[in-house]
Amino acid sequence: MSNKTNLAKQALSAHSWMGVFLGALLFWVCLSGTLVVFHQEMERWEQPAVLEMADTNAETVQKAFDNFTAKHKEDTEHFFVVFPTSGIPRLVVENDHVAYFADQQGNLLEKEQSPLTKMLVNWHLYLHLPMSWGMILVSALGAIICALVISGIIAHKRILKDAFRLRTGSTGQQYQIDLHNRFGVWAAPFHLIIGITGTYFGLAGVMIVIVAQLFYNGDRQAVMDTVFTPEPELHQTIEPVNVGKAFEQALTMEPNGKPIFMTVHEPGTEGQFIEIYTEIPGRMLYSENFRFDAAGNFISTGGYKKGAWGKQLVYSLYRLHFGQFAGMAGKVLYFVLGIMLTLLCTSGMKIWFNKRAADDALPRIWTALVWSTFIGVTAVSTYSLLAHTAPVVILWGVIAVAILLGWKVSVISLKHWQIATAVSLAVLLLVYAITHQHGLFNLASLQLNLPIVAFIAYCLYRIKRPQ
Amino acid sequence: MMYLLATLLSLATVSGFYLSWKQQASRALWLSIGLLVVSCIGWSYAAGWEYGLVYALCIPSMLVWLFIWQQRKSLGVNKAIPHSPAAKVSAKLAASHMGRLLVVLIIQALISLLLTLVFCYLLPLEDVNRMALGIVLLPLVWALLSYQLLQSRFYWRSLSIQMVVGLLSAGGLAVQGGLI
Repeated sequence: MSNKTNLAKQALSAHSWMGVFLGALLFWVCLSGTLVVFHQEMERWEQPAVLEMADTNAETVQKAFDNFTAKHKEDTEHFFVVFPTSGIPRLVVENDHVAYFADQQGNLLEKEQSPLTKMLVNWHLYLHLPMSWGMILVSALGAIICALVISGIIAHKRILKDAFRLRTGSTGQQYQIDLHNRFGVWAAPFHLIIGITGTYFGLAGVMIVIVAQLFYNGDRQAVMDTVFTPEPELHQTIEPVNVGKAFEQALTMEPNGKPIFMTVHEPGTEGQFIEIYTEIPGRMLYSENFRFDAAGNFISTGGYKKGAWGKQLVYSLYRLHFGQFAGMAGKVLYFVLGIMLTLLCTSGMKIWFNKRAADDALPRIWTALVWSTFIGVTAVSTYSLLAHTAPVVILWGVIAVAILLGWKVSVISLKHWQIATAVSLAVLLLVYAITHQHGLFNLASLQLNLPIVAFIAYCLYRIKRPQ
Repeated sequence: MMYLLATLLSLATVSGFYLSWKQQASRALWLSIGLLVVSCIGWSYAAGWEYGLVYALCIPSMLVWLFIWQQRKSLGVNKAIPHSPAAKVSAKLAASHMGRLLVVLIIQALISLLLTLVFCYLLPLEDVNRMALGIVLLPLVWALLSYQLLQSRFYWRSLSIQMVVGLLSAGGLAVQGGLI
């Protein structure tokens, strides 16, 4: 056997091991990541009838803030005002405990409730594990994605010869292999972007601990301050916060920018200050931050826009990972590529099952796991519409029961799972129509309901097709 | 207008790759690589270099399906895959796989972290830039280490070498941090 063939064989063995052993986790992280690209649209979908607006002004912001602080006097370390230019065209005022929408006059409307979106985002960030461990595990999967890209390319002996091949029919195995390799090779830049940026979220904390111990006498905050601009130290007389004045100035300081949100740090103390986060068009940076004292007088910027390249890079990782740039175009791009990445996980597993060709329950369990994940998400969504809470136990309960069924009941086929998925989605739409009659034909509801209808149609098409 | 031009450049890049593949022509391949660079510039003009680079690298991975789909071939009627008896899974085998998983997720994470940091702190950069470089390099180093270990026919030897590298990196960092 030639050295090249040997290398490819060994690479394939490493590739299969990583892909198969972490297949389920990779599938969940990739699928949830693909879904949460539209987390802002999901929030709107959860409350479609809320008043929407294109932008706001200083007077409205001040009035909404005053109304909120008058109503909610409980202790909090922050107040937040989320602006309609944040990606969700709504004005929201909140503290650490509760959030309200506001209208164009600054009057408070209904409470913000997005339990489903929060559940899905937590699924992607932590896999619903305890936060630190979950985040480290998910971040480790980022490095595994990079390792799969590298081993997959080395293992692919005919990378150039097969670059445009897609062979259907026969046992279907060649189709799965071609699909897997074409997705893997052509979308490799995207996979590396996701892998590298994904690793950052959990592992940066570990890196900071080591760097702090070695170079900063154990002072983690000092390490953080080298990357993220430290908070200003103020000693002011305690007075009402002038958020309107700060907002007005931030608009003029970055005329092309889109204010995302405002934070009032340590309210009611001598050190309270206002920070406004503004998205800079054309830049991957999360924001440039403008800081003001409680009276609304400008103090400084966060210095991200023109800071050291390292600072800019770190502050750009969020948008780069979640596709939160360039509006809907960036989201659609990431959604389609995210579907490809998710299909890469499922096709890889199918190839492994077919090669193994063992007559046991594993392929059935895998099919159950994949399709029950959709059913589980749909079940939680339906429940959240009725109960305004999204318990993770429903998602994992559905998956656990499905795995048990896949293992023990051999007559349940792919077709049955597809029927169950289509039915559960239809029930979701029905419950949505009943619970949200007023907002049913809003953009906020249609932009998710129409893709759900399309997915039902896809399931029906798959059900009708011979398998 | 610039967006349309940039999209056409990406399409031309993919078309070039397709032609080079179809005709097995290396000149067309180099031309397509050149077009990819030009499309990067085009996208950068249209959307700024940060968004532009992402578009230029990611959009071809979708456009390529126009050609893959057009090129698809059928291998004939569907056949069932012959199945063999169920494979036996022993507790020992499962434990060995779990062990490897822990090595990849924990030990190699630590080794790659130490190796990345010692490298970054050798470079004449500001601390913030070292950290940023480390964030980008860490997953790549981790990926290479795990690939190296899992493809190796001499698992224990590879793991031992990697652990020695990790210890040396830790020592190096301790020297850099003035702890030794």
